[in-house]
Amino acid sequence: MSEPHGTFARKTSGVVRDVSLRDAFIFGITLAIPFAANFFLFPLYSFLLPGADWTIATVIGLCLSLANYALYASFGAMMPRSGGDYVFQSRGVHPLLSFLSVISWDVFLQAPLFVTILVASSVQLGISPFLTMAGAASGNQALINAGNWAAGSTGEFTLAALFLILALAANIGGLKWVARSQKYILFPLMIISGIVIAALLFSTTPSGFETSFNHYAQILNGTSGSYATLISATGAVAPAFDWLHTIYLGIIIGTSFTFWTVWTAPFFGEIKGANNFRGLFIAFVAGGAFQAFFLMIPELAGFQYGLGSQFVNGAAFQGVVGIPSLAFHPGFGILTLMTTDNIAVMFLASVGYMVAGYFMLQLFLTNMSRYLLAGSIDGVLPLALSSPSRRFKTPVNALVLSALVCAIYFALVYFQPDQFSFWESVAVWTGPVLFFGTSIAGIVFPWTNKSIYNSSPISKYKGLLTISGLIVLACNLFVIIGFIAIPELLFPLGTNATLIIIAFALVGWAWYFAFAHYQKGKGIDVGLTYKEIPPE
Amino acid sequence: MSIERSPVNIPPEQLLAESIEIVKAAEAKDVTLRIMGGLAIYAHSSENEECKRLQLTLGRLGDGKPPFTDLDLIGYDKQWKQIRDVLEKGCNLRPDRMVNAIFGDRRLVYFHPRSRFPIDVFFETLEFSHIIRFGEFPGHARLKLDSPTLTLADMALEKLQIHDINKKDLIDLIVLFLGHDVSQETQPNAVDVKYIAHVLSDDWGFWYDAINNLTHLKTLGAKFVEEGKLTPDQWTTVSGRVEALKGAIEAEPKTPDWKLRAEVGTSKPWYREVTDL
Repeated sequence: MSEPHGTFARKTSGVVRDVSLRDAFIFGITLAIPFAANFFLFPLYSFLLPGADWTIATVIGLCLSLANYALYASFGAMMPRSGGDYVFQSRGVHPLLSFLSVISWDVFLQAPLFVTILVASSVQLGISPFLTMAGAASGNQALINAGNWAAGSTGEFTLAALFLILALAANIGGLKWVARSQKYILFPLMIISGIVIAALLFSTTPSGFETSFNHYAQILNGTSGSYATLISATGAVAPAFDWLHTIYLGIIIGTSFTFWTVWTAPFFGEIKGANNFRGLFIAFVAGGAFQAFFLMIPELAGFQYGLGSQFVNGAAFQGVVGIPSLAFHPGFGILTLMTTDNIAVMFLASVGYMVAGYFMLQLFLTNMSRYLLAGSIDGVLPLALSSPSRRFKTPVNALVLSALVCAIYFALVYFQPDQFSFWESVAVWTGPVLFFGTSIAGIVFPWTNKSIYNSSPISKYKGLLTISGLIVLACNLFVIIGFIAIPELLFPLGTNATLIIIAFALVGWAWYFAFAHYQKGKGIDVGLTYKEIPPE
Repeated sequence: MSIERSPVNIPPEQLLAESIEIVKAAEAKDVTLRIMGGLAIYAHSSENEECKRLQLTLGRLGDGKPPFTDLDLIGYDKQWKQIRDVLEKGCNLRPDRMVNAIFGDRRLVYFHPRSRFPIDVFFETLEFSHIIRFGEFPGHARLKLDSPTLTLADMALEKLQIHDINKKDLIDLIVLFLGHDVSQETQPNAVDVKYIAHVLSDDWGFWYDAINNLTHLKTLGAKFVEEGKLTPDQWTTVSGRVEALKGAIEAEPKTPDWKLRAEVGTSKPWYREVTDL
């Protein structure tokens, strides 16, 4: 028996959803890594791309992101069900692509690895510096020791495990609790920190900062005149403006940060209004614009203004190369806190990105579980992953599995700090895979799935899906090629990392075919599910 | 996976028979399920040929189209697992696993593989534009008051709570009031207006939409009389009973919460937004 092919959306007695597009806007900011400069941009990209203008680069990144927003808003309007990229890629290209790209690489490798790094960064660049600086400002050695503990293996793992338990509990309770905590806790704290950071940086000057830096370096490093020592390591130069580096940085900011406001896609089916192209597109743009104009540009511009280009250049050099030697890591967070000696102000500046790691983990669990749910419903993963819990009536099994995977990576990464850069390279290289697969799906969808495309409102925007897919594909190809071929962006993968990525692909490939064969023995033809015919 | 919700292609009598079969299969396992919606009104009019004919011929979903799209059932939350067992193992219904996994706390969706109609199962509470509670099992067991459908008063409330009411729901209400008298107490074949008034006396938003819907009903009824789809006598019967309901609603003392909300009025949203599944 077959059902008529038709639209993906069901017209039925309705349902009241707990989460709206306004929540999707906040989720998008969380998923785009708020305070990205704290986490990743500085010192690495200051070092790799001297002369890049951060403001212009952020605007370039946001402009490129519009293509990704159009791509995902189109898919949302056509297929507003949970499962996101897994559904888009399986229905647009091939189920094997979606299984490898989304289940094998994203759920079991990239996402848990990335969130491990994000939580670690939140601890190392937020919690630890605050405790350390509060201790330095108040002469409290216990606080300094606590800051050092937090940044160590045991501290990182303990804090991450605590975050994981809380994030799992919130998700099991239901998406409304995730939404409420983000709306009433994270969002206000982000705004507070965004304002305070910018205010601190714009209210200082390079000469004023020199005094502060020397003062704190004396306490933390036991050395005097550290400011001059640091900038002299790079010859006290301020790099000249460089257009090419600015463009490179813009593409990286786009693909790494502002693109990601779309990553509510895995749970589109739970968001009110996610079947509306215009509403989704606005939510994505608003998230990207908030990220760019409130959480990135003021902070990054203030950083250059308050600390001075020479110091920023020198600190970037020290952060990556380690010269001169310092007992503390001069990251964005700790350097910002050095502009004040008021502990309360330090807390307000730090709290936004201290909690961001936890809230990102919350949504990563949501996304990972919805991908597993979609795979289970399609019959390529065990049925248990889509069985609602009797007690909680949320996909608890998929959530618990997602949490377990994260916990394994927490242990692997935090207790082997010397392997951190190895895991980081795996995460960075598998990062573009998700958008890569979905952009290909977008390019070919009007031809590979005519029934869904032609019956959706997106078909009236001729070429939108294909063109936005092409732009997103080009950006991701640039990043991958850049890692190999562009000297400033060289990011060698290494043999072991390559083997890990290949191994996950092979295991995924083997599982897909083995499980499909197992399902066939039970009378379930997995291939039929992708043609929108319910399996008999 | 999608299940296109188009009008059901089996005759209404067969749909009703299969629906009652599901309710009885549940009863055999001591599981309570009750039919709701337009089909429930059709079921309750089973001995009134005039009402059944009207519900099928007034064009609920458009002239010439089959009148019903699905089966709506309601049960108790405490029997959630047993309901799933009855429907999946006992009746071999196919679950919509995506919806059930995500919205399973308030809704289960199934598909009848043989007769090809979708089935929505709700639990104790209808949460649409307004909220209607049916009580917990086994205490305030409102679902036990009638079988295989809800009570007539609950059917009326189910329609009256709709903020953007449409023609098919108004037709259902016309049929309901044509086929059943009103009463000030719970009786099997009368609409308990006192209960309806009691529910609305504690929820200003629900009251507001209900009163508006009764006004829409009168407008549509008058139009049907003009078009010859209803006789003047039929309409006199319906409008008399609607007036009796409005009188009971008006007479019911309102709670302090109702009065407080009434002061705010429509300046703040008074209903919940319902979207497609």
